[in-house]
Amino acid sequence: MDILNKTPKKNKDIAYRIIDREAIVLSLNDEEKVNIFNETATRIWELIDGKNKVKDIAQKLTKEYQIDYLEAESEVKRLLEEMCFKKLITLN
Amino acid sequence: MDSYTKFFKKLAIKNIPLHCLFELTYRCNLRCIHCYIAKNTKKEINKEEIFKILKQLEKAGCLYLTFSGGEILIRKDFFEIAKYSRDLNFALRLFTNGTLIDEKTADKIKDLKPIVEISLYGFKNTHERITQTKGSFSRTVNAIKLLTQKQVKVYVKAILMKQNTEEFWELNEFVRKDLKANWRGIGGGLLISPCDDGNKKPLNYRLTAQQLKKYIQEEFRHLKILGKDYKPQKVKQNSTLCGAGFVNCNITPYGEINPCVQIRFKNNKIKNNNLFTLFKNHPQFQYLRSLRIKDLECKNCKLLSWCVRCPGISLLERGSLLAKLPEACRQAEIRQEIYKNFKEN
Repeated sequence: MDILNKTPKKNKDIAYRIIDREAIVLSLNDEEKVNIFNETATRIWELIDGKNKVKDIAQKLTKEYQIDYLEAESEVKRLLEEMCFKKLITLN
Repeated sequence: MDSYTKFFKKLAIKNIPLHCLFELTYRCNLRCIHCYIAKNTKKEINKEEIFKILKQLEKAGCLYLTFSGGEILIRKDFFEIAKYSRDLNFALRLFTNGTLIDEKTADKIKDLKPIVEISLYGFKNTHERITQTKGSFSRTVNAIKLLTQKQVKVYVKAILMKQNTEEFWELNEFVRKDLKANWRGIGGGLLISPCDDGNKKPLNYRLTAQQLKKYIQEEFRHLKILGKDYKPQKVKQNSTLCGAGFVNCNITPYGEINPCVQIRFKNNKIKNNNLFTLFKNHPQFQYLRSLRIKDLECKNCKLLSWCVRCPGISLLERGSLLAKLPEACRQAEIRQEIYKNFKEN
């Protein structure tokens, strides 16, 4: 399935907070690796609710940040793949 | 500066309590001779009140939540509280003596994905002389084994005192090699604290000069083996005294908020969504945050870069956060002397 139709979901074994539009996220399997997200990554993190598909998130970012859809899509894909690699989310 | 340091500094400026040590109860099934908790008869808060505080902590930006006691597992509602905390996405750390952990409890702990810190003060005789409880050594050791077998991250720690200093390094080996757990060493540093009501009885257990020298020498040697060098700290007159009250806070079993377990404030009861306001605006929190090294009674001391002082212990022992702490001076002197000898050899 194309990644755009996949639905990202936050992993169960994580802990996080969003403070002033910046998220601090850690995997409880490796608490030493702390992830600090910038504003865009934090907004994407907020939109990961187990319902929004990748393409929905890209669309929302297009509207909110008034950017080109393809630009949003590429950024969303990149960041989600990184979150997936760090075992913070799953993509199904 | 990396992104975490930047983020952390921002939180300190904004007074976000990223770390909280939540004392769930002062009740305990052991009677450790050095325990800092004075006997209390006040009523502890119930589960619902704890939930409300946890919700406020989440809103205030707290991420790292440590549950401490007394013994946390004495609370029958402990797992409900812990589960609720995980649902609020806290990263949990549990301080326990381990004696109430059996197979079933270990499974429940594993589900919380916490870091568990367990105190083990020595081998059987020494440990039980300190806990004043027969059978406590085997129960604690069994808990460490159970948890590590289940891949729970366990850190074992001990307070260093007259009673256990001789077997301290052997205990380190035992924990790492036989119990397959992580050794955290002296959890709270080398300063034994008076009780939180100012009772100084636990200070009798502080090391003799000879024991202290031997321990610090051994510490230096271990660091050297690890390829690390023990260096004096760079102390700036404008530095803060410690992290307490900046990004760290403590909640008592009575629902009060403090900067740490040694510094207990007044008029600090958490109610009606006032946790963040108390943390940010309480005059005693503001005063603590305003203090700098240059305010210390001993600000010009030549041993400052060797000194590991604790403002909370100064408060309990000498009546002021800024007072000179003779025990810290004694340790700093020994540290400096050993460092010099090490450098020369």
